[in-house]
Amino acid sequence: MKTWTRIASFLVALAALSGICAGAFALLDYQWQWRQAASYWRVLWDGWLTTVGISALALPLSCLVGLIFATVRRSPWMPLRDMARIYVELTRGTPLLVQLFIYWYAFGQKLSTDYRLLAGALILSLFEGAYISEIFRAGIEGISASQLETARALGFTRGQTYRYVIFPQALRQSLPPLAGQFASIIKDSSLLSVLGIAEFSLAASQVNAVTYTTFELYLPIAFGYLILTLPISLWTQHLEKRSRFET
Amino acid sequence: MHLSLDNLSKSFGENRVIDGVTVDFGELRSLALIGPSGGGKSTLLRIIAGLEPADSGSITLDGHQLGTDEDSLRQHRLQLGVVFQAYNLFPHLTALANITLPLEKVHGLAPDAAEQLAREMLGRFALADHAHKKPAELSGGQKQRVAIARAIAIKPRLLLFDEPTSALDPEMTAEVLDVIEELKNEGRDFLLVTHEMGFARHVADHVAFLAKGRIIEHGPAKELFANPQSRECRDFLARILRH
Repeated sequence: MKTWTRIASFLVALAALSGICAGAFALLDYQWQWRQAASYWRVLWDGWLTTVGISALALPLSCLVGLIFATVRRSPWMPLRDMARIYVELTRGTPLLVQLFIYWYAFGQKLSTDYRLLAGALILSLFEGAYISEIFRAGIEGISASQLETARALGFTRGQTYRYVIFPQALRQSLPPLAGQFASIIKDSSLLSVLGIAEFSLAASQVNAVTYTTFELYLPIAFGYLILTLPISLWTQHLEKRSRFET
Repeated sequence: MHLSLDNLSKSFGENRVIDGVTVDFGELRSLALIGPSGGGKSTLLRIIAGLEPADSGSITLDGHQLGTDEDSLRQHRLQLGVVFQAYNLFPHLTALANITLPLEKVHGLAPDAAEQLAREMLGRFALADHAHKKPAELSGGQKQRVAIARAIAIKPRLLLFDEPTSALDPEMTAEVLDVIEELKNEGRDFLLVTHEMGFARHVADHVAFLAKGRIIEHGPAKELFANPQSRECRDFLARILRH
């Protein structure tokens, strides 16, 4: 019964929103030309694959960057801590678009086109890593001082305490916000189009320049991103529910 | 154990928590630290456990003076079993893994040897059925017994109990006190900080009364409780035992 109410409610909401959208498009009096847009499916498909590839590179890389900076921020050496802090603040305080241009014209320009995608994914990871380091830092700081003391009392070294006590718990705490950040990485990868990397949204704008079928291109594009981000979002909700029960 | 303190001091900011304590307890098996809250009992236990550095003075345990550098303190710590008031089990690990982790990583036991020993310990404290539960699934008394099992699994030369029953209701308190008494009957050396006066009298050979960062008096448990010498200790016991 409860599941049915749930599904019915969802369908009603979906129908209402679709109705509103359909009405809006009807008012626009737009001439749909799906066939023309569809003939370029190959370009869009390649673009989508490129976006998937960039994301697949950037997810683990940005986690690595985040982990490094989160650990450095707890370094016993103060200048090192400050360095990590300055990096995080500068990165979070400036737009990705601006950083993309700066990194690109400073380092990336001389690269051959083969490495463009790699360089783009790296710049994206450096940006997202700053956010992820804050997520990890919050997870690490959420571990009570008494646990660190217990680890000390049991004779663990500093390294063992990180490995066996801090990281496993911090990671679990960080998973829900981390999953949210993953969705951002996928969406933010669309900005790599400004570097001429033929990812999903650049593919759309290139086709659009020829066909002028804006909606027929960008609606499927939105759908293409949703296929990637929705499962992550659902996974996040699942994780949040689970961690609520555990603590 | 043979424990002696020489001019031991510790301050937190302006607050002098341990105030130049010099004492030689001589040879004894079990020592209880009693006294009013804020009197320095737990701090003294933490300094003896090598968890808190003293500002000055020294501790001698069985003829060895405690070092002050991290390496020798760590060597010291891994020979001790500390049981905390709040159990301090690792929440992400099962009862079993809480015991095996230090055995494997600190004491170098092979995983199967560590597991066998841990299961033995859990069985001993009637926790065999709870081996695969996380701390959140255990009662307070069960958690504290797992913590005690973890502490003795490493075969410590000395057990340190820091108010092990303060967070427990009376029934669970009895559960944990039974275990401690059993350990005493086995002949294990321990140091106990407690508010349970009846238990201190019953289980400890020797009792030290701490107030305002000093050991006001100490002596065999029966004598100290029957005939306290100092006014502070008399007042303290009178206040506590009135209820």
